[in-house]
Amino acid sequence: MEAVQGARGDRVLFSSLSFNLSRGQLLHITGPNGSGKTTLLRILCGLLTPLEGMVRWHGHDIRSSASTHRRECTYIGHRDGLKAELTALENLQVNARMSGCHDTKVINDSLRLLGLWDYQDLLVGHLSAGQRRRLALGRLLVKRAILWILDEPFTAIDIDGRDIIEAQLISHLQGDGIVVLTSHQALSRPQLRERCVTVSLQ
Amino acid sequence: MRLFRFFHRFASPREFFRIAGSMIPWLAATTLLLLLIGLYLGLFVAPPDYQQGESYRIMFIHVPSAWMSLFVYMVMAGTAAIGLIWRIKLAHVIAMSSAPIGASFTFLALVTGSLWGKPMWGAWWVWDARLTSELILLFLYLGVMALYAAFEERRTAQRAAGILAIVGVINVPIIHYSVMWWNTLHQGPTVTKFDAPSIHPSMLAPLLIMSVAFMLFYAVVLLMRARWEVLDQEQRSNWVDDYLEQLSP
Amino acid sequence: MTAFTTIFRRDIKLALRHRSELINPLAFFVIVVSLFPLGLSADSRTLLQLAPAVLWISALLATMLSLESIFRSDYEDGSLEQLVLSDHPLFLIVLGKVTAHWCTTGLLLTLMSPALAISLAFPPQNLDILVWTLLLGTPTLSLIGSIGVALTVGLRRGGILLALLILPLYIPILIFGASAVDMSIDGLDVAGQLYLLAALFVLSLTLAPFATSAALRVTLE
Repeated sequence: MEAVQGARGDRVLFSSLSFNLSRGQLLHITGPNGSGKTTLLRILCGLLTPLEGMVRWHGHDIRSSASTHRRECTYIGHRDGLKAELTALENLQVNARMSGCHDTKVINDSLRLLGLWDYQDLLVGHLSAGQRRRLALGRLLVKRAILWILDEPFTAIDIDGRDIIEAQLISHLQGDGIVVLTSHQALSRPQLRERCVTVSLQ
Repeated sequence: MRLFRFFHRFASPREFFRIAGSMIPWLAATTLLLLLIGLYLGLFVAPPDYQQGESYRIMFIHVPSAWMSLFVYMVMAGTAAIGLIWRIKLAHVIAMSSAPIGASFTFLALVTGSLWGKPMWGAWWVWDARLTSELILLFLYLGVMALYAAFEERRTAQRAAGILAIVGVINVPIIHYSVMWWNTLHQGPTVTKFDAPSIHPSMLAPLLIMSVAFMLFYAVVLLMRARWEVLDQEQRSNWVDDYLEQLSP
Repeated sequence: MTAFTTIFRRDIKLALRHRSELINPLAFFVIVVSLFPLGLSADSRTLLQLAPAVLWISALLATMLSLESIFRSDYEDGSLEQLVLSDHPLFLIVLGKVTAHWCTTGLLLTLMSPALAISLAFPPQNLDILVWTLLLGTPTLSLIGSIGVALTVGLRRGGILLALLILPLYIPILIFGASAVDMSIDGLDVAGQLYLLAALFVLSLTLAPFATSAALRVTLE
């Protein structure tokens, strides 16, 4: 990522921001509300074009190699991207199929891992906010992308859930994955902290 | 190659602002001159029409504005496409500055058409194919302008309205021919205004001069609008600060 | 193709679980058509004269009012940005969504139209032409409409604006559709209009999904 400038409206949120990430690294973006954390994540996943500069993935501008970047990247925004009228299982099935995963075992394992196995036939509209957040993060498990971009992944999630997710982050990093996340809480596990780079926005 | 370099420089907001600023007075003077010549020839020199008498003279306003209404739409869609494909900011500015001007030409064509229609058809408005197409064109312009105004972010607004302009330009011929077809179906053959097999040179000359004058008028207003739009868009850059400092003593 | 079928099936399933949204456009169609005899007269000759226009304009408005459902809820719950970011071609996803929308609105309106036409003193032997025009015309309405929804989905109140953007583009379809029905009642040959409707459908099928995809990428910024 090079000299990126991001703005909402006519207000520049950050400029000349540059960093490099390599396999096995975690980038923790911190900053107060309204400092542009979400904007930065949306630029990184290709939803937003930066005002200046560019994001490179494997050395190529993500606007020109969009399909590689999209295939190798999973973005979990602050909205869960789930349909309230579908059950937990159906939601995960659609997400899995859209990311090219047709293996029922992977889907079932993910549901078990996230602690949602007993709730799989419940409509998502009837799940709690924390359960919905867990299900949204289930995308990570069915797609298996290299780059995970997570906007406040721990919102509404209890201590158990946080443990499960942090364990997944660790195994992803150990498997040479990359994680970019925003979070107001500090990361608790030492395995995460030793691989962590922090960028703070003002 | 030289030409290309000129355009490349011209596309930078700062150079555009400067060059456009120096072009406007000359263009405006020429526009005024041609308008006066065209109006004089059209109103005083050209002979009255053997069928319509004096009322046909509104043609010298109506026909150029109808031509311009279509031409400006093409320019708007074309520059919007350039802006979307090559990500040139100035092209978007030109496209969106064109929209209100084109809508005004369309409105002028509608008003003059209806004024002309009163003596010809005995009614202010008839569902004539040309007038109806022109009315739909006005709706298309209003749609682009409304969409542009609806977004808070200029970049999103420019691109969204640009896409709509391109969709519109594909539809303009389809709408035009469907309306023509509908018109012959429901009204039977009506006498259209341009039935005259050949137009007399003394009428053609003012018509052409007025058309050129309208074209230049468009250029002048476009450059003026685009300049202020560029100034607003680039308000964070240094050259705008410098320029504004120069203005205020 | 996985993208198309997955999204198509998802949207059909969602529509079936949201019965009220499925029924609303149909109820609107019925109510608007039944307002005309009340506002005009129950005289069958007057009704028959207006029937093609009434049926077509009501179907067009019913489609337009249902358009927002193509993208609105997906935009609000964040599914839309996930679809845009998926590594499938966006135009296939769009096509899946528009097809699902047509199956749950345009197709149902078409199937209902004969019953409403009969109530307007429409001659039964001409019903096939009415159904054909709607069958060829309503998919085009959904396709063109999807561009408008994609452009306005990011705005808090897009409703009226959507009508302003979309209705002028609907005019050719209305002209050919309504006139075909009208002329068939007079016993004239209407193959020409049907071909033109088919041509407009093919044209919008090839172009609209790309315009909609481009519009989505812009408005999601």
